[in-house]
Amino acid sequence: MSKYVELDTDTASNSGSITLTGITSDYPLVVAHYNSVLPVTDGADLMFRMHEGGSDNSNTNYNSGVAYQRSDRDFDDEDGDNLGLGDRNAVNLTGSTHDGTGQGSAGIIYIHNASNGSEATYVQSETVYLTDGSPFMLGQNAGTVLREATTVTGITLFFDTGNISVGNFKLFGLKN
Amino acid sequence: MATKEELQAQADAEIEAAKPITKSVSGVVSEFSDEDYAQAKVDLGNKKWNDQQFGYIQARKEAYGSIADQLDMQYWDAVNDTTTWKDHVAKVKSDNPKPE
Repeated sequence: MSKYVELDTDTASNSGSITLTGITSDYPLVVAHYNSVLPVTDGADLMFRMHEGGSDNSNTNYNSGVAYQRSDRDFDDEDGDNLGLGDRNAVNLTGSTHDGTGQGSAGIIYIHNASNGSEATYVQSETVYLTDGSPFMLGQNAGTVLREATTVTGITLFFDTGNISVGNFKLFGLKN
Repeated sequence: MATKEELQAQADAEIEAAKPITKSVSGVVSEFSDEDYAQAKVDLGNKKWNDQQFGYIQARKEAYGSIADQLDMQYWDAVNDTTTWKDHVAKVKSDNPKPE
């Protein structure tokens, strides 16, 4: 019987980045979970990169498609609520997030084929957060492919400006 | 508008001022490596450039409002011979100018 195994856990405290590791060929599906994540800088975007060995992959080989759910609209049918992001060197988990205490973002990131060095790495992410300024809720569903046949061993999360003030992070692997 | 080089210089200075920045890898906290600092500068420089050059697009989309609301404005403009929608669009554009 398959079961989830906790691979890594961490807590941010004014951290520049958080890297969760432990992905091996034992886990064709890995799930990263984070909650209560706040930026030091209001309006910062939460991002991720794949971690390979001792470093993050910042090549411009990440392609994403993003759909938003917004509490300020009835339907996500406006131009701009669906985004295509090609040839990026990192992937957005959120747009501009709120830095209000007790109002951090949360999400789940599913990572497929990570440790298979002969295939691309596929990622699905589901996040929810409050926007900066006068906050309203945004949900974000995205699909991402790292178009490299590399061996991914972990994931690194960071904000595009400023540090991660607080937040809880865990990585689980589905063991066959 | 700042040049890309000027924005990169600002980003470099901000990262330098923020030192030391720490990272946590599997719970082991250490200071950014030289490569990490270099990447952080590139990332922040790119963000500043993208915000300056393309931020107005998203800002305009947010400010225009829904298509339904704009159609409603156009309907009542036609009924009342007013220019509410045209004025609204003009204000959104002037409030969020396209970089030169």
